[in-house]
Amino acid sequence: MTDTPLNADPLQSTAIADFSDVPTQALDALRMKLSQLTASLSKIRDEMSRAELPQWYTLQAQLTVTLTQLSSLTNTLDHYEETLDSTVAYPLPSFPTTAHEGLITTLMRKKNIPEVEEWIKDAKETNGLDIESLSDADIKKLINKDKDITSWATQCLLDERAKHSYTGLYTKREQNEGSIEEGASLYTSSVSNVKTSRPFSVDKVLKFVHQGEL
Amino acid sequence: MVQQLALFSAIEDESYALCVETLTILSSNRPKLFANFSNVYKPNPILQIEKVNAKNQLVEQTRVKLSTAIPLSNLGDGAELNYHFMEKLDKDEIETFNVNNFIHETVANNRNHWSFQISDIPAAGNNRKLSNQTIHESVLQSSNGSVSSFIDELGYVNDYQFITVGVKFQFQSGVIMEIYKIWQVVQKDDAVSMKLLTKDGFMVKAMYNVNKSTDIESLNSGSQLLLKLKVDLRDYIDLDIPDRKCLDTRLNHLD
Repeated sequence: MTDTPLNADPLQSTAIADFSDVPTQALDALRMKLSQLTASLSKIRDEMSRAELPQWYTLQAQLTVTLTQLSSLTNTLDHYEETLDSTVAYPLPSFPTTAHEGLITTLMRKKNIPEVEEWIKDAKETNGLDIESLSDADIKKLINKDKDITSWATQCLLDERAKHSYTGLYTKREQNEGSIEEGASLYTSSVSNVKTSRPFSVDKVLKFVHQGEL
Repeated sequence: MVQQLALFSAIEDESYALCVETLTILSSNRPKLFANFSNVYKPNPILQIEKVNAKNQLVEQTRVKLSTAIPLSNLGDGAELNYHFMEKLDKDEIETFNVNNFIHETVANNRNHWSFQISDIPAAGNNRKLSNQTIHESVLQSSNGSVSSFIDELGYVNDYQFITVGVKFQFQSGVIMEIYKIWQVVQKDDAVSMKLLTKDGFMVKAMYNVNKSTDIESLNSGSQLLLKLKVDLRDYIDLDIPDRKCLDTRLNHLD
């Protein structure tokens, strides 16, 4: 454990614990990523529970952020896998076990809490695979099939998208057949130039219109 | 009497084409070219006008605006015009338009129809999201003599003049959007010249008219429509409420 008990028994404090082997770097990195993730998750939960739902694009943006954080956390976990796997946590003898029994059992708990167990069970049940009866090879085959369907769907979507024009004022067919009148303006989306600016003071012009003063 | 809710903004010349296409789609209506000549009059300073009424209350003097349409045939020298016409108007003069002839002819005759308009200063208050102005308007169909003699008999004298040319979009909801340029009309001796005030850009006005100021329901729904439009156009055109003092047509009443 990285925590040094503050209320350690003075008699035992002579036994100085050796913290040099504690993987501080790995734990700190994880702690940071986890706190980011919990923050964005609770933000989404708060927004969803409001009476007025947020705009879909706000939600989508937040979900993207959360997914990025989740994948970043997974990467970090992967990166420190070896260190974390070989790390065993144990309480120091100076920890006031009797006084803080609840705290120590929580900290030392390796099993998932019942709520999480429930989620995992739920996920296993809803994935449509009978994990008990299927062999590992079969499961792998099913997962690959699933991946194939996903890539097929992606391709399908891309093909469909290519058939339509999402910018400008004309359909893809009109553009291809060249049935657009001469001199018609074709707009392509350009994020940089879309915002307008004011070349003069609106109030000054209004003042002239109403009072004749320049 | 009409209660006008309005928001203003401006765009630069380069944005005009895209803006027109955008608003055509938003309004599902074609842009309509318009051109107006406005003549603003103020109470004749020679006349001694009582600044209080019978109840001894202060009465503000306001300017009067008379506007008439400039026929598009006149504006384009006979050529048929559409909204692309605006793309070329970046100079003080409009090449195809003879402002001298137009003004001399228009002010002297009594054939033109004029809109006669008096407006109040927009409502005050904190946290206003829209400009809310009372406008009284009437149409002069004919006058006994020229329009200038008519206005003279009313006790008003010429103050300043300007020309507005632009396109108008009528939304299904009743919202009207205008993109226009304004030229000041400068009269020197007998020669009339124009000076472009909206240099390098266009004024943008979004408005909603309600016939009665007591019709709270329509005022609310109009406000909502305009604010919705503002949200729809945000990050593209930032429609804002202008300084109400700039929409004040009263004479400098502290004099």
